[in-house]
Amino acid sequence: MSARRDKHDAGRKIRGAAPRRGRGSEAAPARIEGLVFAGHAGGLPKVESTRPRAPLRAGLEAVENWMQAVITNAGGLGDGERSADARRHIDRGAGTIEQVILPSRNQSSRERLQIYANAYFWRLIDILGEEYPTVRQTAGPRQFPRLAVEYLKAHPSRSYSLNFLSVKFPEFVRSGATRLPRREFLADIATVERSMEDVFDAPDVKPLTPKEWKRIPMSAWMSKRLRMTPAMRLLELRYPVNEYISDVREGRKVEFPRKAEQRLIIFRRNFSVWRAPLTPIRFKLLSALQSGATLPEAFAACAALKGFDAEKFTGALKEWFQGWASDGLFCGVE
Amino acid sequence: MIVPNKWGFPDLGLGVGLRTVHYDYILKKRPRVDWFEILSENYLDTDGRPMRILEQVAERYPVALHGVSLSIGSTDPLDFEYLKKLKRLAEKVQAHWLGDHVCWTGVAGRNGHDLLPVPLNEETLRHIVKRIRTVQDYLERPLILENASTYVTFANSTMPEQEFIARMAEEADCGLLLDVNNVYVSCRNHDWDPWAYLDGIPYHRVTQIHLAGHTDNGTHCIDTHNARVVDEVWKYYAEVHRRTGGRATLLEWDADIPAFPEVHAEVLKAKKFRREAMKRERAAR
Ligand SMILES: [Fe+2]
Repeated sequence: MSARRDKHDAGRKIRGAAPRRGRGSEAAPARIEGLVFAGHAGGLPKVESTRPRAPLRAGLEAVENWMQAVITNAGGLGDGERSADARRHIDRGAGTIEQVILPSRNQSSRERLQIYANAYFWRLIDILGEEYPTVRQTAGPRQFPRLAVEYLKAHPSRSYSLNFLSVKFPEFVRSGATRLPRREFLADIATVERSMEDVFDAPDVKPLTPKEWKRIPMSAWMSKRLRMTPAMRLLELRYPVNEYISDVREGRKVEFPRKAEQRLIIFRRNFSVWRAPLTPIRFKLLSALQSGATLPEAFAACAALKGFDAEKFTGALKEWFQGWASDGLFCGVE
Repeated sequence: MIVPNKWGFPDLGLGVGLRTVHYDYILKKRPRVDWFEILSENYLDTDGRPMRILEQVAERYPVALHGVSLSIGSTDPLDFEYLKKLKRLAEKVQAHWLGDHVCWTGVAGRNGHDLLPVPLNEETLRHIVKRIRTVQDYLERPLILENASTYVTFANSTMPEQEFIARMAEEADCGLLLDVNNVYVSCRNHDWDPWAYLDGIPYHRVTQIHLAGHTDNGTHCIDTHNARVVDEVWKYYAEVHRRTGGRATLLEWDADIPAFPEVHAEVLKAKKFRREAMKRERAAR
């Protein structure tokens, strides 16, 4: 591949056994355009239990469902306590939190529960930010948490694994479900960063070795299909985001690129993730092969492109295939 | 009296939690660490670099698995897809044991990816015991469950946490991972007596010990795993060592992680506390 290649070598960020609670916490309530989840007690006056506490007879299922509804409400604890979702499980009016959660010597019931509410949003915002560092940087410190919270409200995690938390994030950014400047540009970046994650974790399938290549008879090439590595994505984008992503990730100061189509390959080699732009014809050829076309079918698809030059194409094929083979893109013939 | 481990699980010595930032150092320098603890979820759904590194680490060092997603306290059904992957991973890396926390992570099909506390009462106890038994039958080995750091207590709790944990372990016949930093954090947050807590633990079930640092906010402590172990926690560690004669010990460092030698040096401090504890134990006899 002749064009500039960009390598992404970071390991998967480890999610430790200690859920992050450090940010936006007690000292500096972070208010994000009307969202008060990291604020203090959800904007409600303290209802510290002056009234006697009636014994709580709620069962485990009710307590858990109630607590989840209260601490995951983006409007804060007060909104959470008043929400139908919480009241369906436990409802003791304005002081429900005080009826379920005990105060400590130093903290009210609400202050204590707030620790879990802060942790919920900030932890997941941080994780989205780690997976989409260029989206985070481009959207900025005000827009990104807002976007992340909107996403988490629409798509709360439903898996034991954080690996699947943000699978729908690019689609969500593109969809217009939330107000967002530079939407298309951000959606393209998100698409690339999502693909990098997918390629990073994809199944490990051994590529064809030069010896195995030589053993394939010429006659086979006309009818068989090349099996492509699962650790590869081909993307068609509306903005040239490839260089932009590298610049941002490497801390260089950059300007937003002008709208211009870009085709990208993202693949894994020796367990590092690489990105490189592709010309329209090479993109067409690889896409055809990836979708299961035989070589003649793939060549025909290329020949249908505007400005196709048969002589140039034939002359370049060998070099292209050698490059792709040494990048480990092919793992079998079937 | 020194209490041996019920299942004969070995004292693996002084280990460190495997973290991404140390991958290169560990593979290149092959430090003489006794063992590594692996965060299960980071390896369940990847066939990339993390898995290749884990294979190399497991080839050279003893490992144990530590998870955060079992959600043993949740009233949602158990996730057998998760358990299947966990079992496969444990076999693949020949984990000495596998553990998780006494907590829940979500209900109604959702996951908050946090270790949430349960009300400590008879209903919760029955519920958790039943689920531990199911999981142990499926995994064909004892679960090693850890006391989590907690920040709230419930109005419908009816027993001290150490009593809950002791009864849970007895009735479900499971093992325990005693996190002495979590004992410190929870006792500070809830005005509990840490020595009464330590006194209530059934030590024949303790298979592993966690050490870690925390953040002290004055009014309460947060289990941030971003600092050295505090003196008070070392005292608890020495006490546990005096009672057990040595259990696999592991330092957790998850934020503001220093270079590997510094993390390793922190857990090696345990040697001194182990020696002193044994001296005291011999003197008392
Ligand atoms: Fe721990």
